[in-house]
Amino acid sequence: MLFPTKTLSFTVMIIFCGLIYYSLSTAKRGKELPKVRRIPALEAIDEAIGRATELGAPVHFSPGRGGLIDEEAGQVLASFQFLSYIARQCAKYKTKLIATICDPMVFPVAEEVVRQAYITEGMPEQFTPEIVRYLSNDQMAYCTAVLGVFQRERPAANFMIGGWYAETMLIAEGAAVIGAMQVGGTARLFQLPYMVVSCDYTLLGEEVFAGGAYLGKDPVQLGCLAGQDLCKIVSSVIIAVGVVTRLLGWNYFYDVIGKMGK
Amino acid sequence: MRREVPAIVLAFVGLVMIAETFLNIPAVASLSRDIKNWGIIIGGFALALGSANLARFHAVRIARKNKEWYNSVALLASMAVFALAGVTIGPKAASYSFYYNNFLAPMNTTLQGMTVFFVGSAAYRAFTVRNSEAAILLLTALIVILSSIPLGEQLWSQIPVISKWIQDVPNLSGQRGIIITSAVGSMAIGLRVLLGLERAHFGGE
Repeated sequence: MLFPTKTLSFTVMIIFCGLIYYSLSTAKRGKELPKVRRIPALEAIDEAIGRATELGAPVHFSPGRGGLIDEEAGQVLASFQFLSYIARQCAKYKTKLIATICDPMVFPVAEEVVRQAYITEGMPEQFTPEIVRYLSNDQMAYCTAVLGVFQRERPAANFMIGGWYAETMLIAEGAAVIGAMQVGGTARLFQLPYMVVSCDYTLLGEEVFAGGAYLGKDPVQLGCLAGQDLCKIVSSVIIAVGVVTRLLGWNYFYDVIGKMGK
Repeated sequence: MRREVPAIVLAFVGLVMIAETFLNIPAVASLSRDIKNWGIIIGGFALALGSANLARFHAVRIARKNKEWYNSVALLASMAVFALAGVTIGPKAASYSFYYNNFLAPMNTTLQGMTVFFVGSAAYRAFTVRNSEAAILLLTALIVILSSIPLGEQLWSQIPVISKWIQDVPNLSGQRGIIITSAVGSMAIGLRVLLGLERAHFGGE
């Protein structure tokens, strides 16, 4: 029944999901919660919103070009946690928020996330349809539209967290030109260098997925983070065993893993 | 119920997709195909919703005579022309291709070309030596850039060798670290969605 070529990935998925589930159920039962290390990029989110509030300028958020039914879906889902937090902060401080959307399927979800954030903060009247804007699903048209928003409305903070493609550099530099403080984040390897050079703070890879736990201090998400750490330990052990056994000329472990992946 | 029903649907769809990836069962593959087709149809509705939002936003801008409102007129006119041309003559007609090839394509290419200048300006800011990390970044970038032009090898024959080592060892190991940890992060968020514990996309925290 199981595809023979996928035995390894299926086994790894079951083990990792088991570890994550164990950690999050332990956290849900109120056992000791993990301590999250300081992540400067996440702490900079409040600083950037505070700066925009003081300047009376808007805050811009974009989840990038990733969609809900492609390989970037995980990052886009993670970006909603940031959008929710940023929207709540903006509602609290009465700061104008602009969320620009590229993927049409992301648009209604993002609108709901922002609407609920304003309701949570007791400011439903502050939510307007102008906050979440669908611009275009064409990459360059989306870029142009965002650059237009930057020039006309001059946001003081720019958050680019999610699934980003070649539009990263154009949008990040467009925000740098108007002097906006920027926090970027993506797990897409090809866009990370662009974010590192153009943004003030960058969330690298898994930090994008850790945002919800860090900002919300939700026990489930904190438990999940602990589970992710266990998975990383298991991965590191497998890598270390593979390297050592290959260096010593013992190929049994390498062959077993190799066969499962073929 | 407003959140429970979507959470159940989401979990079911997620489980079908996982089953389709790992299990060789024709019924699951067929169900997965149907779900993907529904996704495309829902995507069409979402596009209509997005277009309505866009049209409404710009109509309001024009009505209020906001800053640069005339750009909104141009946008709505372009939308109307392309939509009408697409519906009446079809996207494969020569006149439709004329609009596309002579308006949209050159503008897209212009913007892509601008990326080069933006890379230059960002690199200039990033490579300013302010601390030890920036100095390492500058040195590494210099070696990799020099290795990709004939002058690099002429200056010192070891530059391509060092560049290859940088890309194959520290760079690749860093990349693999990011890939593994991001995959674990994705798996964690997927599991939370399947268990109905991920609430951000329903507007929760």
